[in-house]
Amino acid sequence: MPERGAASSSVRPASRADFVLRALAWGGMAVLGAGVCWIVGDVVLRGVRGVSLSFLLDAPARSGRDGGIAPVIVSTAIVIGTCMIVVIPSGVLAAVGLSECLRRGGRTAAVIRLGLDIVAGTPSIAFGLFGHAFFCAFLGLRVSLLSGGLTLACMVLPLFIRLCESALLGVPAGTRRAVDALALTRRTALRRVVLPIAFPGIVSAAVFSLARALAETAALLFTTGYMLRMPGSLLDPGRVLSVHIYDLAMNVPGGDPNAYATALVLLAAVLVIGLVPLRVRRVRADRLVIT
Amino acid sequence: MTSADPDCDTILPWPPMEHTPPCCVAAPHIEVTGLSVSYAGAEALRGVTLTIPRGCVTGIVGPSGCGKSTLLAVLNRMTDAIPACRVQGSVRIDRAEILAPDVDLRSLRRRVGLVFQRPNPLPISIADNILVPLRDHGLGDRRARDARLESVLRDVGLWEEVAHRLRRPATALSGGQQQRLCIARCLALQPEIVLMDEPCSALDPMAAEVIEDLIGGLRHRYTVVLVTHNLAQARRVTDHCAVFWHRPGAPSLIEMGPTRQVFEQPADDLTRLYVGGIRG
Ligand SMILES: Nc1ncnc2c1ncn2[C@@H]1O[C@H](COP(=O)(O)OP(=O)(O)OP(=O)(O)O)[C@@H](O)[C@H]1O
Ligand SMILES: [Mg+2]
Repeated sequence: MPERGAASSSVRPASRADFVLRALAWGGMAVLGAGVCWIVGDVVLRGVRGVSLSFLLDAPARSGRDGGIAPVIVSTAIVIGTCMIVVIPSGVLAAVGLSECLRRGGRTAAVIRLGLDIVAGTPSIAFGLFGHAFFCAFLGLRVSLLSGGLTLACMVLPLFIRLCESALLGVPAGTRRAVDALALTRRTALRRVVLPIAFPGIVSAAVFSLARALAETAALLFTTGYMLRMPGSLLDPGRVLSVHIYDLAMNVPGGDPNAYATALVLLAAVLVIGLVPLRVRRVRADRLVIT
Repeated sequence: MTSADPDCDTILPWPPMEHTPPCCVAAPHIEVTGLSVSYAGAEALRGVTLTIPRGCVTGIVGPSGCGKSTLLAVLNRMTDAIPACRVQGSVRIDRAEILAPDVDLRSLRRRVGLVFQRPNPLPISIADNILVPLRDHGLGDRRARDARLESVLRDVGLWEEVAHRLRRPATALSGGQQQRLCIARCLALQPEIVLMDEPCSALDPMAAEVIEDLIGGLRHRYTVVLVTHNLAQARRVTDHCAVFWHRPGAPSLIEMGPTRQVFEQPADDLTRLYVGGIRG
């Protein structure tokens, strides 16, 4: 019975391969998990002593070696806020255009997607140079929170559009056909069907983009600068968390303790923001009003 | 078209809802002439010519892949959404050509409603499934729309079951209820023609029976085109029947006539084998 023999002998190698695959998968996860734990643990252990309420609320002293990070937090909030105010509406609109208005599988959409992916993969230092030349110099916004926010917006927009687009594509085929057969206008279809279904995905996309923006250093060095003072307006320069960490660690002897404390604040911010999508499971269609 | 069929009402267990237009008088509603459809070069229908009478339930039967859904998709131009799909020939509804490029798709699809095989309620509330399309098409004021909501839900026998939870999500209904909601949604736009693509095949037998009775009740008020794989159902519920088959080369129509004739004295050998359960 050659067939029977072949069959039974093919079982064992298969299960051995299965075991190896499993071991590799678990091993990979363990390595990754250990790496993440190490980094997070390091930041927490070294930073936790420096973090206190006064650290968050006080002005820095001695180039940041002492005192707190209040102006840094304010600058960061303004830069990120500007960035997201630009990114969310324009990104959602662009994603809608890309997924709903252009012909499905058409060449125009494919070219635009390729362009977005290339821009999304561009090193952030290039965005910093571009932002400096365009916003700071050409548009005359100088090195300012506004320039930085707009530069960041350019940087995360492609990523946000692509993530939103995949959220929009999550509308089931049957639902799409119902919309077609009922000949609903695009406006109604978007407002009552597509956007409510895509909403949780859009929130995730926004959070992911925001985290990316929070972590950005290079693009902001050139555009918001590293002025360690409380900003008075959008057109003032400022220093964001990531730049502050960079500066303390690289340029300020004895700045390490506060660099770690600032890193812990940044980490906590990313973590808290990352929890938002978990709370947004569904949005009631009749509550979401977009006109 | 065939001449008046005296059997028309007697074979049906339920009374007609209205007597105008009378069933199965030779009043053509949809006239398909020389219709050929291909998807990216692969023929899905070849040279189909048939007439669908007004106010009747016309069945479309045939083995899988013989172009039944394709025919329905042509009748309300859902084929437009498929880039590689080519449609040739003529389809006239009330003598007006609907394949012409200047046809207004929105009003065509309102006149020709489509119910799918899998229930596909919109992921909004039960009431909104009906009210949103009405509002979108600008039909009636608020009061009229609410009245229409109740009347179509009554027509599909859903009112008693959902009246107290109209604001709940439609996706929480059972499959059979969802399908009745989809039929109600289609009827709410007051179409003249209702296309149904195997509306019972995703449902259990009890729910299917409810839908089947409902389809019988649509006769005379609407022209119904019903695709079904269930020959017993075709026999029970349809007045006319069209049999499609893969002819060598491409799927096409092999026989059309009053249902009783198609099932009892088929003119075509393949039909005989098919309705006898021997092939297909
Ligand atoms: N969107 C499409 N793209 C390409 N080919 C298609 C498409 N839709 C249908 N076809 C092809 O057209 C032919 C007819 O398909 P159709 O769906 O009309 O058959 P059907 O009679 O409805 O079958 P079933 O009973 O299984 O639903 C099949 O060969 C199918 O593969
Ligand atoms: Mg089909």
